[in-house]
Parts: sequence; C-alpha cells; structure tokens
Amino acid sequence: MIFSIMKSKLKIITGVIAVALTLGCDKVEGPFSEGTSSNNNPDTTQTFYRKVLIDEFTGHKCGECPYAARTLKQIQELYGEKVVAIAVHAGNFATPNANGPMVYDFRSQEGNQLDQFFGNSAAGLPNGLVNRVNTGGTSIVAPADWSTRVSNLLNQPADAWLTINLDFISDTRVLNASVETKFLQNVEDSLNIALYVLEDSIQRPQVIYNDPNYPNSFIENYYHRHVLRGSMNGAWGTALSSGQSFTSGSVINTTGNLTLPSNWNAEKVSVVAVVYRALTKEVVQVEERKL
Amino acid sequence: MNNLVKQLLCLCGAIVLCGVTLAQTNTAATDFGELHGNFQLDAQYYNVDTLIGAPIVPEKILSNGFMNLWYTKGNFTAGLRYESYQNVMQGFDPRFRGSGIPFRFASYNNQKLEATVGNFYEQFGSGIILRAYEERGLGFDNALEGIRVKYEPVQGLTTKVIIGRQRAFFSLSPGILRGADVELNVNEFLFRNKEYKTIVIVGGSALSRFQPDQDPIYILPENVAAFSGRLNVIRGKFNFQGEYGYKINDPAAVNKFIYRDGHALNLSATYSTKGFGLLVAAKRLDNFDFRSDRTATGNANNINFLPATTRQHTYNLPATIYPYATQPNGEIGYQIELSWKFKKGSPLGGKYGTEVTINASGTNGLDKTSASNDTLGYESRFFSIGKEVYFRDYHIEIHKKINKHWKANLMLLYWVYNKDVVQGVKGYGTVYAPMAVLDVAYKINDRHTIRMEAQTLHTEQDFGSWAMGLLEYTYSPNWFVGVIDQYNYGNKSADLRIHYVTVNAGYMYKGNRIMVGYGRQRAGIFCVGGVCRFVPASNGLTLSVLSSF
Repeated sequence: MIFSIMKSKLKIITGVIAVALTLGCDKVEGPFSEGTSSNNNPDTTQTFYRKVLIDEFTGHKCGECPYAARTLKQIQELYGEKVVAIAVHAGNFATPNANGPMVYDFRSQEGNQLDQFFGNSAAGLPNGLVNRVNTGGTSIVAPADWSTRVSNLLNQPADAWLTINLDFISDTRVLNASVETKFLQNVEDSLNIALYVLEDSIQRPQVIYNDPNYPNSFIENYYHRHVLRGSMNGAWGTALSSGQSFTSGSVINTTGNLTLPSNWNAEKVSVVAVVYRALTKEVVQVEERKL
Repeated sequence: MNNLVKQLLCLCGAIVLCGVTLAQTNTAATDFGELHGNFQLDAQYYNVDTLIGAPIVPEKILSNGFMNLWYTKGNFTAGLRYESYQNVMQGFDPRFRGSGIPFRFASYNNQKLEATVGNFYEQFGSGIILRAYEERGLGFDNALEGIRVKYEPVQGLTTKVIIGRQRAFFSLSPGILRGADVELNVNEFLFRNKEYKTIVIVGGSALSRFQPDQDPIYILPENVAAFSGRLNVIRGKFNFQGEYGYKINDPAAVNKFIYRDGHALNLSATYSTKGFGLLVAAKRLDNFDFRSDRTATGNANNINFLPATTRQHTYNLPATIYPYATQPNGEIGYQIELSWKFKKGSPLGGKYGTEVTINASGTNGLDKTSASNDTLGYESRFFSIGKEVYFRDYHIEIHKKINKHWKANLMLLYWVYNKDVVQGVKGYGTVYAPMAVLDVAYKINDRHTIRMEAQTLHTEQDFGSWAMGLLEYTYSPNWFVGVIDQYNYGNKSADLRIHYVTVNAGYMYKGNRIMVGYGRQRAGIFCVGGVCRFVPASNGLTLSVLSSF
C-alpha cells in the first residue's frame, strides 16, 4: 500500500524535476572569442556612416579603471575610427592628492559638469556613456556592455555627417575649428553642437588593482588616453541653429576657438565635435580630428 | 500579452483606490477588505565641511521616500509602492534618481494554487541561487517583475515557478529569469500526520537566465543556469541544514569574463536546549556571483544571496568600521558559536543569571592554481583552504542583569580584516584590531531609562584607533534623545583626529516615528565586484519620518 502511494508520488516528483531540468543552459566549450569577422570592420564602401561616442568616466586613483580603458581599446581596434572616445576624469578618484605621486589634475570644468548631470562618478567607477543614450532612466553603461551597445548603434543609419577643419597658430597657441554638419536625413528636433578639446597619451601615474604585472598596484608611466581637457563652447555646447527642423542635404557651419594652455602637448591635441539632441542629450553624430 | 498585464494592473489599481475610499468612508464594514501600508521619508540638509571632505551638494537638500499600499480581501491581495528620490541622498546609487511606481502586483490564492502577477519578492531555499528582496536602508531592491505560481499538489510537496525580470533602479535588468523550486517535507508527504522524532525536508531548485549575446568580441552563453539541492534534518534539539549550488559557465564583468563553472556549499548544524546552544557552520564559495545582467558590477542586479558566515554585529564600531562582506568570487570559511546561561542563584549566575556567548569565525581565500586556459580562469581543489586570510572574528559576550535598575552587556573582540580584499582596494593591507564594547542601561523607573555605550577599537593600521561613546535617554513610550561620538583618536595625521558627533531626537506615537538628527558622518570607499564607489563624508541636518497603518 505504502509503496504504491510512494510510486505515484514519485511520479509527481520526477515530473517536477523534469520540468526544472528543461530550463535553458548553454555550455560554451570554445572558441570563446568571436574572432574578427569582416562585418565588424568599418565598411569603407560607404561614404557616410554613423559614428559612436563613448564617454569613459575614470580617475587616476581608480584601480579598476585601467580595465575599462583596455575594453575601450579592444572596441576601437575592432571598429576603428567609427568609435570616438572621450576620457572624463571626475569624482573622488580623479581628485589629486596634496602630495605624493597622484598630484596631477586631469579634471576639467566640462568633465565635472557632465559627471554632475549623468551621475557617473557617484554610481562608482569605471563606467561610461554610449552616445549618451538614456535607457531605463539612466545613461550610465557598464564597461562590459559598451561593445554590445556600440555594435547595435553602428547598425543604424547616420542622420548627419560632420567634417572638422582645424587651424593652429603655434606662436599664439590659438586653435581654430570649423565644423560642417551635413544632414543625411530629415531631423525634427532641437540640436546642439559641442566642441570638446582632448589631449591624448598624457604620461602620468595610474593606480591599478589585481594586475600581476603591477604587484604594487601602481603604474608609474601610464598613458592616459584621449583626456577631456576643455572645450570651445562649454560642456553642453551651443544650439546648432535656432530652428528645430533640419532637412536632408542641408549644411550648417559652426566655428570655435581655444587658446591652448602651455602645458598641453599640442601635437597630441584633437577636437571632438558632438551633435546631440538638446532635450534627451542623445548623440546624433560625432567626429574627431587630430591636430 | 503585455496589454493584458497592463489592463490587469490598472484594474488592481482601481480596486486599491476603491479600497481606500471604502476604508475611509466605512471603517466598520470589513466586507470590503483591508488596506495596510507604511510610509517613510529620509531627508538631509548638507553643509560643506572641508575638514572631513564633505562635498558641495548643489541641491542642498536630498531625500529618499516611499509608501507601500497593500489591499487584501479574502484570498485576493494587491498592492503598490511609490518611490521618490529627489534627488538621491548621498551614499545611494544615483541611478535611483526620479520617482515612480516600480512595484505593483496582484495575487490570488485558489485551492492550494497561488498566482501572482506584477512584482514580487521570492527566495529558493537559503537564497543560494535566487533571492529577490529589498534592503531599503542600503538602497538595494531586486524585486522580480513577471509571474509566479505556487502550488501544493499534495500535502508536504510545495512547488514554485517564476518567470520574470529583475528591477534595476527604475527599469528592468536585461536578463529574463526562469526558475522552479520544489520542496518536499518527507514526513508530511509519506506519513501524513504520524509523529516521528526525525523530520526530513529536501528541496531542489533551478534557475536560468536568458540574456542575448550581441557582444562583438566574445562568444557568450545566452542561457546560464544554476541548480541547487538542499537537505534539512531536525531531530529534537538537533538541526542540520545543508545546501549545494552549481552554476554553469557565466562569463561576466564581476568574474572578469572567465568561463569557469561555479560552486557553492553551505553547511550548518545547531544544537540548542534551555540554557545551552551550539552552532557549527562551514561554507565554500567558488565563482558564484550570479547576476541578471552579465555586464553589471557593484551592488546591483544580484540574483542570489550569499550571507557571510560570521556574526552580524549591531554595536557601532564592530558594525561600521570594518564590516566583512562575502566574497562571491571565492572564499572558504567557518563559524562556531557556543552560548550558555549560568543559572539564577549559582555563583556566576547571581540573582538573575548570566548569559555568555563565545563566537569564532574565519574566512580565507580559495587555494587556486592557474588553469590550462586563461579563459577558464583558475583551478581550485574543493577541500583545500587558501593561504590568504580574509577575515577573523573571535569574541565573547557577557550579558548580565545586575538588579532591578542596572543591566550590562560586555563584549570583547579580536578581528583580523583584510581591507584590500574585502573593500576591493589595494595598498592598505590587513588590519589587526582588538575591540571592547560596554553597554550599560539604567532604568530609573518604568518610564525613564538611560543607556550608555563605551566602545574602543585599537589598531596600528589604516586609520588607527577609534573610540565611541553613546548616551541615550528614553522617556517611554514616546520620546528619545541620544548623542553618539565616533572619535578617530589614533589617526596618524593629527588634523584627522576628528570627532564625528551626531545628535538624534525622536518622537514615537503608535505607528509613527519622527526623528531629527544633526552631525557628521565619515567617508568610505566600497568596492564590490570590480566597481568602486565612494560614499562621501557628510555634515548636516537629517529628518526621518516613518508611519505604518
């Protein structure tokens, strides 16, 4: 009697377990890498295409941040000039110490304003923005998600194409920029254009955690890449035009200038032009031009 | 489908509103069901304080607030929670900024089958592979949104099935979670109500996360599943609990994208009788951080919960200066606790008896060797203990009621705290800290009580030694006022030997509590799973209002 009860009950249990085990489960045995397939590389047959902006929020005292810089380098190796990067040093991990090796100040007023608005450093570094797109109430994107976001955005057609021309007068150190925005689609929105000035490869110390190559958690001569140094028209730039309607084929010119401080290495300076939707801050198109 | 859920939720909202109106107009009638809820507001005015490094807060005032409304009628329950963070208080994740109704649900229980739609909290077993819960004070909430069905086909067998996505601030985490849990009370199931000395409960769960792989660099598993099995044996005063969890390859930001499997084992046994208790527990975790978004870091999107195998302290210095946090990527630890009571009238018991607790716990890293392939991370022998010490806590606590007026609690502790590992930082090393806590309460009469605490933490490392003093006066049942001073007297730098003084006063009446405070709070750095968060120091006026009905 008791065994027949047990038998029928065992059937129930086996049934339940069977249901549980049918739950999905993917074992990756290798290879673990996608490799470099041709469709990832920049499509040079097209004249105009979408470029994507990654704002990398970092700090020289942030020990996890060099890993995000490595992720960014991987993405740039994969997509080449389709990905434009700005390193924003902000928050407590970017605040220089009074003495010791970490005295250099990488911060900028523009970077602080962006950080205050998007909340990156308060959310914990490293993190970033990908085209400054807000999904689910936040624009902050974890480094591990950058490549996926970039690859999705690159599949979308470009709305505009930017061309930057630079003119640098070395005795006065005045950098003049003129940016041509050519629309490829009709856009019905208020647009802004921001002209950021970057300095690349600033060699200064960086804290790094858990890298066996740096048992002291410290890199003496770290290359700080594409550091946001300042701008020609502020953190949020200026309105691209007073209108809110841009027709395909129309062209708008924007100019700006900045006198480069003497401690910036002019040979490593570049200008990044960002056209974005004024309300949502979402990037429409981005371009970088090295001096 | 989505529309259907929306319509259902609208309907529930309408019913709740209906309930409110009815509850207000006709309190005597119970036919209309019952409405319960609670409300909380925390706000702070921030002053600039350069000495402790409290930053400028442009908003000057920041606040977090919420209200829960729960409506029940018979077998039907529906509820919602409104939350507001305008803007988010310092120390909380800024991604909470804004306001909305992130939690709403309806549930019906019909003949042993309970169905819930909307948001819900859930736990499988001890939470080793799934625990959706909230910890409002820490800004943590990973409620699920979807569907849950609980069913008890026969007595002693309970099953749960869940499908949903987790809350991530005011949005949902990208991973879809599908899970099932079965728990079998062997005694009830096989022998109905027959009395047996031994009670055996077994359980098993499975949980799978689907997250698309659109990563252009790695080939990532889109379906990642975890399984667990558990056993609970109770015989008289003896209770044994064990749970083992296994997770297939889950390359994620927190494990630096290694494809190694994960393992977790928790064992604990207790023996308790009047005046005597013994607890023995052991734990091993290996690559068992499980999140609903493989790219997530920090204290967000966690699917499972892995408690620390150490005592959770409540006294200020042990609880706040060097709190231990479980290392889900790998740790192995134990805890033993012995407690007994010297009887009334015995030489050590005195007139009222004396309670003594001795506790020892320790956690080390895993014994790791590098794997044949970098992508697999590392290899580790299951029962081998790593050399690196993460944490030690040895303490004794003596609780004594001296007479009708005096009550005292004395605690002596010795801690070893690997700051680099636990806080995810480098260059601080390990802190060795003996501590002492004395808590004395003097009851003047039935309404007036004074409580004093004196605590010390002595260390040469890190920020040096601390002392803490507390004085609290309670005028029952409505009023209390207290002052706390945390003093970093042992700081190597003389200007940083700062008093962090806070004054609090509160009023309680029935379900309401209003508390006002003023003071300084020290800064801290917390690194969890590859992300470092700086909780700034603050100086200012705080207001806290709680109400439940």
